[in-house]
Amino acid sequence: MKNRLFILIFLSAAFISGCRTGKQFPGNYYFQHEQAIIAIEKQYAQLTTNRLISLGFTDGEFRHVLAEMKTDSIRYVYEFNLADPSFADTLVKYGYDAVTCINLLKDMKTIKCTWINKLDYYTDKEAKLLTFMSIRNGARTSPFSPEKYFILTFYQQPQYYDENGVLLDRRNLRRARKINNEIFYRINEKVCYTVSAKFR
Amino acid sequence: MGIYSRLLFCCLYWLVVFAAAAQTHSNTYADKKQQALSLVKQITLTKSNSWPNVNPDLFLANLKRNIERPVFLYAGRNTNFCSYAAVGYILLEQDPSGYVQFMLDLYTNGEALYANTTYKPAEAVRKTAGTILYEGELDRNDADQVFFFTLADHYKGYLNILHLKYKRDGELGLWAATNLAKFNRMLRAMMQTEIRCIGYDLVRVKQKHLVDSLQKKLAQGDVFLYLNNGILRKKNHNKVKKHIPTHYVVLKSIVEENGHITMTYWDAGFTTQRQIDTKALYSMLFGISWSVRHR
Repeated sequence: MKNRLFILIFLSAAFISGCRTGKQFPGNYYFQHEQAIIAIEKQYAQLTTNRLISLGFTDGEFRHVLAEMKTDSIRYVYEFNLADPSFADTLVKYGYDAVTCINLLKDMKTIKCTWINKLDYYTDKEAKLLTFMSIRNGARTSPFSPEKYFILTFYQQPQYYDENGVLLDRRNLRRARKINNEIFYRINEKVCYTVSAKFR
Repeated sequence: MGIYSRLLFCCLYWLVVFAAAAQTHSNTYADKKQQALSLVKQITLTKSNSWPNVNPDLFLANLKRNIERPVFLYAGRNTNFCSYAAVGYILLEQDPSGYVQFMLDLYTNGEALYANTTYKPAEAVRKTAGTILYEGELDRNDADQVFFFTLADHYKGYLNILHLKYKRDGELGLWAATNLAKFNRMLRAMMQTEIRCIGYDLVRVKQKHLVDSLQKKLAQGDVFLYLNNGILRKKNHNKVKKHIPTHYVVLKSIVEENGHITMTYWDAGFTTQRQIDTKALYSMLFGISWSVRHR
């Protein structure tokens, strides 16, 4: 009987803690790591000046790198160990600056940035690009709680927001602009955030 | 004539025959494409009463781009349109002029006939096409919106049973979902060829020598894979994963070397080449559908 009661209490506690998200996340995360985040965004912008590449980590320990290299006609997807020398060779083969790329991944690892890529979005049917960055929530409350990611989007132009800081569609200033089916909130005029269950 | 000379002659003969056949095939495809393009160039469209939110200029530009580069047919970022995109991609590759005529009839009359099947999308669907937002390039691909909405409205499977009528944002939910049997039905109707299939909606494909088997199927015709997208395109680090297929891709080639598989597939907007291990392929593969070209 005591054992059953113990299991019931344990499961209830796990369930309740699983429903909670980390207290500090995203909260002030951006402002605490602002310099590192901006440096990563700049490095990534430099890396993708001529050719697009998406980079991220597929494991929780930030060892396995996922790289999606885009050419005009084909997207090459590779998974490597960050320490594997063949990763640099592959990057060079596809015309990327391997040193910048590997340094960027190391910087991403430092702030638990799981994924970075460029996404297209459309205003008045015109294509524009934003930078999409996701950071893994280190403050998980229990092993039962689902993963949450702090998503940041960087725009080249200032964006429109409502009085609650919700990112708006330029065409219709009453409608929230969604990215990956999520509503985003203001950090500053060119940077927005949301919390998502998916890192991309 | 010695045995070696005869052998050499034989080889040369077959080489010439194969080269001629390949040339004829590529010529036929180029001709079909050209025919479709001239059809689009001749047409001037005005606003359609059937599709009030579809922009005629965007519609025509989208048709032209699809014919020139079928590989860019894009299903949107969050929609459940991947199965319809796979069908559209094959249609564009095999019958571009039929596709164009079907789309123009659909736009002009609000209904169209293709391969003895009449497609007549409901009013709710016709009003929604052209209004999709925040789905990447699909936002401005009005012809693709018309095509996907029409197929999603026409074909129904058990996944759609509680969502038969379109409601707002239905493209993101079960209204547009496609189970394997429905997918095969669509392929049979649109491709007008024999479609064979192995697999189930909830049970993974368990086949020995999978890569060899897929290569043989590729030699026969087009191959479609029904996959667990959570493994193909990982989006979170959760330990507990859903073991269900949610995605369709068109397989272009597959080779195995030292236990590593290199797959090239068309995946709603891109051709992707990726390396994957055998275990991952088995764990994400739920269905294989393939066409058999009768020669």
